[in-house]
Amino acid sequence: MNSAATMISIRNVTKRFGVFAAVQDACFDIRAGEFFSLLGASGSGKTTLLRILAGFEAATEGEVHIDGAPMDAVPPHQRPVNMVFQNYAIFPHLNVRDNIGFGLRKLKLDKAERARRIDEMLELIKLPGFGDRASDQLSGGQRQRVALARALILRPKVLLLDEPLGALDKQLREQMQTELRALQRSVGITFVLVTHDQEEAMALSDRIAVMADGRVLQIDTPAGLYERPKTRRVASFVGSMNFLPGDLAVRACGQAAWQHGKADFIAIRPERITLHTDHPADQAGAGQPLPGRLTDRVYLGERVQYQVQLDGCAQHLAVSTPNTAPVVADPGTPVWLTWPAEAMIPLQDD
Amino acid sequence: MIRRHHFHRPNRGLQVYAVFFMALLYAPIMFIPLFSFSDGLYIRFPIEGWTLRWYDELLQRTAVLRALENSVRVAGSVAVVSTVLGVFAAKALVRYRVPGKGPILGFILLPLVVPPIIFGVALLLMVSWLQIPLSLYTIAAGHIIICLPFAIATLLPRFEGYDAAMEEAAADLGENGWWVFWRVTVPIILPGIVASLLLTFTVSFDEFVMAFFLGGTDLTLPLYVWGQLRIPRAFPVVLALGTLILLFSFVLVFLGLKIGRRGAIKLVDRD
Ligand SMILES: Nc1ncnc2c1ncn2[C@@H]1O[C@H](COP(=O)(O)OP(=O)(O)O)[C@@H](O)[C@H]1O
Ligand SMILES: [Mg+2]
Repeated sequence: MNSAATMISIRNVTKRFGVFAAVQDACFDIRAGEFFSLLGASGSGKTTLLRILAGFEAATEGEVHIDGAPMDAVPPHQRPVNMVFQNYAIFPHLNVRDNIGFGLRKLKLDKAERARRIDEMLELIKLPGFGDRASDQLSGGQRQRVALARALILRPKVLLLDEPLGALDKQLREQMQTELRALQRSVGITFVLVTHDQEEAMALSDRIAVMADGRVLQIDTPAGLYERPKTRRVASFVGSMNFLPGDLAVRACGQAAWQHGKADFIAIRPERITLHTDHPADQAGAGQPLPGRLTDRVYLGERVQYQVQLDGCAQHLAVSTPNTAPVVADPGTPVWLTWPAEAMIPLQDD
Repeated sequence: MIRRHHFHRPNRGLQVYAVFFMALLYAPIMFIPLFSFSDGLYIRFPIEGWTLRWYDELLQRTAVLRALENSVRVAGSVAVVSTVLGVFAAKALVRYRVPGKGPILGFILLPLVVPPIIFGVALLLMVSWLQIPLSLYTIAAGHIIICLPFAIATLLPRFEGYDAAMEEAAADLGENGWWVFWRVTVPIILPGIVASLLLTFTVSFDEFVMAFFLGGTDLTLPLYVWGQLRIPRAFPVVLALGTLILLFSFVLVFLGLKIGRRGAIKLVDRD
């Protein structure tokens, strides 16, 4: 399979519940073999879009093609996709083996082949020997793995995952992120993941679609979203971000920095700002350092986060520095801020 | 030993109340088994002697056995039909956005509180208007109306107790509606189905008023008992029969509740 080939094509899909539009005019492609995420706050329409792909909801307008075939008239049980449900939906009356092998009935395999394929999946999810466990004797992480195996055993073209790590605690979640990514690479299936956790989306995905109020705001790689957000909402949703009016930016970096864009305002990542306790020497061609006052310092372990109020205006900026270079200054101390011109992202009002 | 929080400690007043309540409820009923073993023909203390002969006499009567067979046939069919209808009704009520769900539910449960005599008379009018001969079938039809609310009330919590995503997961794994129903829905609600079967069987088996209005020449057990009450000599035999019916009903309802509850606990304990 050519990695640039399109696996899912979503064409102007709108879904309305009554008059309320849960998904509005979604229009994008997902490539074969890609790990694709739908990222957005709760209620932004991610699950609805995923359920349209699975066939549980019908699009009010628009159409979906999977591997070139139109899906309009195809019911969920005939689509070449499988899903990991939000709460895993493990069948309570079946043990682990029978949960994983549930979808094999129609393949009419003989007993040995069926057992072999289930064992293979148990191996893949690192739960060998768990086959005879009752479904109510599994931990959250184990349930998640069983749900994965149950969906993957049918070798779907696309695996849909609805907040698969949401129910797990932080440590387990990070471990499962690594495993999920490795699993996707090894099986080579297109994954479409729904999540509200931007770190999770960044860690896992090849590309991310950021959604809000049923609309897709931007689709890009994790680095692209982080470094080149197109709108203020995307910028504030992915990582933390400072927004400042253009004139402040001009003061800080000189007119030259302002040239690239007729932007309404400027966005700067906290970690791109340098915090000085002494007035730094002016650099040729750049503006002056912005003076301010330290109002807060939060120790976050590997990083230290500062809040700085700029002199002469109400604007607060967040500054984040690695723990290797902590600034030892108490709130109230005067400080100066500088940043390189390329750290500034011009944005339009949206 | 687990120390109990005061909230879970046994409550004296409540225990006394419970015993009093049970005594009031069951003491009168207990006269039936008691006197069914009495040697005398009349109900009075002191009991003169003990005997099993009424039971023996009971089993000699072919009319009793025929009535029993009729009752079992009616109750069996009623249990199956009302449970099947109950499964679909409960599923529809829980799973689909039925407009006016509240009123519909109230309407379905209405036969629980409307006197059977009203339903009995109404059905009798309808049946005679349609010129349908009275038989065991008309009795069964009447019983289904009475039993349906019991079936639905038993099954509703089973559907409410599990995530609709189970059925979607089965569909996602390639099963059509029919197979989803058999491979996922039925096994999950099975305790409710068994409980409903037992409960509706008992309700139909014991029912008198509808059977009285809608019955033809074939008698069910309660109708037979009613007929025998007019014969004073037959009374001890009726007591023996009553004792057996009581015991049988009690066991069925007890089993039904136990199975229903055990299933519920198993599902809830999952997380
Ligand atoms: N079956 C439905 N009927 C009515 N509204 C719905 C239905 N499903 C979802 N919605 C609404 O659509 C919006 C998007 O929901 P959803 O796709 O679940 O969001 P997300 O997964 O991003 O949290 C929400 O406001 C939700 O209330
Ligand atoms: Mg969701």
